[in-house]
Amino acid sequence: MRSRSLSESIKYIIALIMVLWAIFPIYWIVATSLKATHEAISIPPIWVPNPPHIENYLNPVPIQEPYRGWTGLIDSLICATGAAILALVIGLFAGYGFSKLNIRGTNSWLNWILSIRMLPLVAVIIPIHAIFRTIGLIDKYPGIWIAHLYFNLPFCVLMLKSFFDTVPTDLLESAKTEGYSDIEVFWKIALPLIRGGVATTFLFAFIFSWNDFLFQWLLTKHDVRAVMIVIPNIIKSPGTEYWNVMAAVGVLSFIPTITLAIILQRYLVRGLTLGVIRR
Amino acid sequence: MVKVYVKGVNKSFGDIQAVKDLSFTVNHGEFFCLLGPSGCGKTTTLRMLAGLEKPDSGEIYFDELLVNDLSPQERDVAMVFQFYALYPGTTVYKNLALPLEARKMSKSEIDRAVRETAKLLRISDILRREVGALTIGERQRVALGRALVRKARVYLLDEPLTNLDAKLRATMRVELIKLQKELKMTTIYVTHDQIEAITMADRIGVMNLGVLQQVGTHEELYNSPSNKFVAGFIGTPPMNFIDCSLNEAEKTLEMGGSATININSDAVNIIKSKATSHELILGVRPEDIVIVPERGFKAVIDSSEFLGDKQVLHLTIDGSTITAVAPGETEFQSGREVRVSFRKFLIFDRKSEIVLAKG
Amino acid sequence: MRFKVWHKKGRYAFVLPCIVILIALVIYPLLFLIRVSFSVQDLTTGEIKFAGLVNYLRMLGDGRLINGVRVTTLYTVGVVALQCITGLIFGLVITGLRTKVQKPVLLLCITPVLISPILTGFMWSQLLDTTFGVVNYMLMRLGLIHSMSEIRWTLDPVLGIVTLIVVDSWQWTPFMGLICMAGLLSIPEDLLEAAQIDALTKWQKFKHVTWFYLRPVMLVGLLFRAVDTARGLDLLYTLTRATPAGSTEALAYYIYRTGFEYFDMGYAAALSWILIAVVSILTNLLVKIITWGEVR
Repeated sequence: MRSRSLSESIKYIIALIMVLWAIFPIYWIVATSLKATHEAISIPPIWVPNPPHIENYLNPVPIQEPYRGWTGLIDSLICATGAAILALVIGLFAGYGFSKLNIRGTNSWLNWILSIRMLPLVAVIIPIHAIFRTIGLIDKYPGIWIAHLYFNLPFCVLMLKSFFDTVPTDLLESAKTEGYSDIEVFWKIALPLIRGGVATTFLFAFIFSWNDFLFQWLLTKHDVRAVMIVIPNIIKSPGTEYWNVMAAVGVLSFIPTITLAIILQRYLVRGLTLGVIRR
Repeated sequence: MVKVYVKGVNKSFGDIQAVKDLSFTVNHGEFFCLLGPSGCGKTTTLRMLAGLEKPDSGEIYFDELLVNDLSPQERDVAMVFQFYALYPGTTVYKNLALPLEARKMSKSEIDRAVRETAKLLRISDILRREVGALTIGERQRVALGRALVRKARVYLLDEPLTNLDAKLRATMRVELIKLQKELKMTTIYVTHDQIEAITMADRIGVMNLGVLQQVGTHEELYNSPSNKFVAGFIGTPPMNFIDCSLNEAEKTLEMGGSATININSDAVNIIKSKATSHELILGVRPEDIVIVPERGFKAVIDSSEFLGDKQVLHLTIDGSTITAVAPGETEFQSGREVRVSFRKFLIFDRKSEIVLAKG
Repeated sequence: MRFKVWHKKGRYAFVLPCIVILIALVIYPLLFLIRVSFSVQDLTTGEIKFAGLVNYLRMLGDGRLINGVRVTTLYTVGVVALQCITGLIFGLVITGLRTKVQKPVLLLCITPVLISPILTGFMWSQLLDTTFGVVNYMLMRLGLIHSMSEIRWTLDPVLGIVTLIVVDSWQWTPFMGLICMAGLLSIPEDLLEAAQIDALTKWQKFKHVTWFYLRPVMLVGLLFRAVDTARGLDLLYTLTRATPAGSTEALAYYIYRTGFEYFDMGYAAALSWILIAVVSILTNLLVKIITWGEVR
């Protein structure tokens, strides 16, 4: 009996350590974002900034373009939402097809799609960069949406397929015998049943797109400046000791993600692991 | 081997009371069966005996030891699960050896015990086989073997034969009886199948809705059930229940229409003193219904099912349908009117459903 | 009947867009990549001309390439090894918590995985900074080191890889952790009860019950982690950008620099094939290990 409560307490101690470990860096960056410039790099470090310098969030960094303050967030929003929706829509049809419509060679296709997810983006961006330059998709939102398909489309197809797999086939069969066309069965019957799955998939495609760096960094110049690019840009610019403002940008960059995650927390666990547990 | 005492045990899950004031004793080396329909609380009781659930109140003793607060590990019980729960990805040998390895027995001792048990259950030739490659019958034996390989205090079996086909079940029943007699293990066996209970158990405890209805040998339960539930649960085809009322003056039970049965004065007196009213239920087993051309009351044959040496007849007596069993050779046509009488019957209070008297 | 015909041919229309797009996204760019790898760009004129195997031959003597492969391999192996353990601990601890505590703890512990790797690199490079970083400051206060610049987390060639592995694990342990949780939660109740009744030791229970359900999911999870680590760039960019070229420079970063800082696209394209090869080998290796385990 005594050893049981010992291992119980160890679990809670470890859990506490895990939480602190996970949260501390995030806490630190939030704290840094509220410090004055000199406070951010002071030793001993300041644990709680007093007074909190909220102006870090309001004033733009005193460096030249391309940083554009709040607009970074809007651009990111457009990129992420568009990319997620694009991948979601294509993935919905494909996922349903692979799951329910007895496509020949489904398993081979799915394995191939999975292997696309394994492609190094660094390698892929070299040709994409050149191709987009030729067809004029650099620095445009649709360019980002298409580029993000590399990781979003395989993800959406595989996720949605596994969600459609949970829909009982006889339900759809009986609908077909009642005269529904394939599209109607898909849109009116199967799709509503996996509403939760669609939400999860959208959430994660959005997060992946939002957090993307490589494509947004290399495929844009002036017009589309997503938030993720700002930090490396600030680091690159000369004479920047504005760690506090960078921290503010950083915090701004993850607030939408965390908020979305909190709202859709029920779907979080499923989304982070699905496609992996599929087997 | 121990004697098991269950005293006043209650267990609820949320609003549902699974076990109500349960008390019974299992003797040293006895094969005791907890019998009842799904949801009657028998499995919950078994789990409390195993230590997997804790009683809300009441006590459970193994001999003099109060085990309420002991974990399953500390109780030294062995259990066979309904779906066997064999340790996956390993051999039959290992499945049998693991409980012994946990007790830090020596390798040679373990080997001896495993082989002995394997011989007993006739699984010696599959000892090296992977658990995933076994047939259902083999898996069941391995589950049994895993329980038997330890010399545990009590053996608990949770519907182990339910997933076998009828033939295997019959074979295993015989084997289980043999095993139990040889090894004299205190065994508590849970099932919803009365045939298993009747053929294997020394004593049976019938449960319904969390309440223990009656404990006894199968003869006692068959011949002297204490209430309608037990009477109806034991026996195939099940007992017939006919609503009737007492006619005190004429000392008969009236079943509606012309059907009446005479009862003696003693019975009348008992009914008068113990019954809540004159509204009663007559219980008669199909095998106690005799079809005699001369006396008895009228009945019409609805249909018959031929079973070889006997046949099951469905009759209507004044609006109520009853089942009777008759020898196979006799010809009975549907729609034919016959006369029936009851060899034996029981009288139940309609409200409390307790047995009042026999006839 | 109308719908039957539609079902026969039209159903391919569901998957066609997806397949066509993916083929376009993969085949053409990869062919393009091959073509680029055979070319060289004259930096003064901007002219691109075919140059045969020049880039590939250059790879043979490239020490920086070898170092990149070395770093990537160490990084990937370290990540797999560490996260297999931390993920398991994560899963075991969180599934062992009381339900009321479990949900908030889980949500808090998952946050690292939602943060962009770019930001993660930034946060940790702050914490590990040798001038004002909290980590070195605390170590100094505890008396473990004597000056702030004594441990150079990201700049030291050996320690740099360790730092990469640890920061990567900060970010991605929840991923493995959730997978382990799923595996642990898939163990049938009665099997756990059988282990209790048989009084199996903790180790026996883990070996014969838990591991059977953990192993398949963990292997798949580790496969994903290995591939993502080998091909990833984001974390490297903000965590290791200050390192002198050639010390803690992973292959992916070398390719990036070659192509987008030195603008030597041809050579970058050639190098990419090495990375693709490394990732493919990893994938096949791990898949083989998984399926070998399953058949057995």
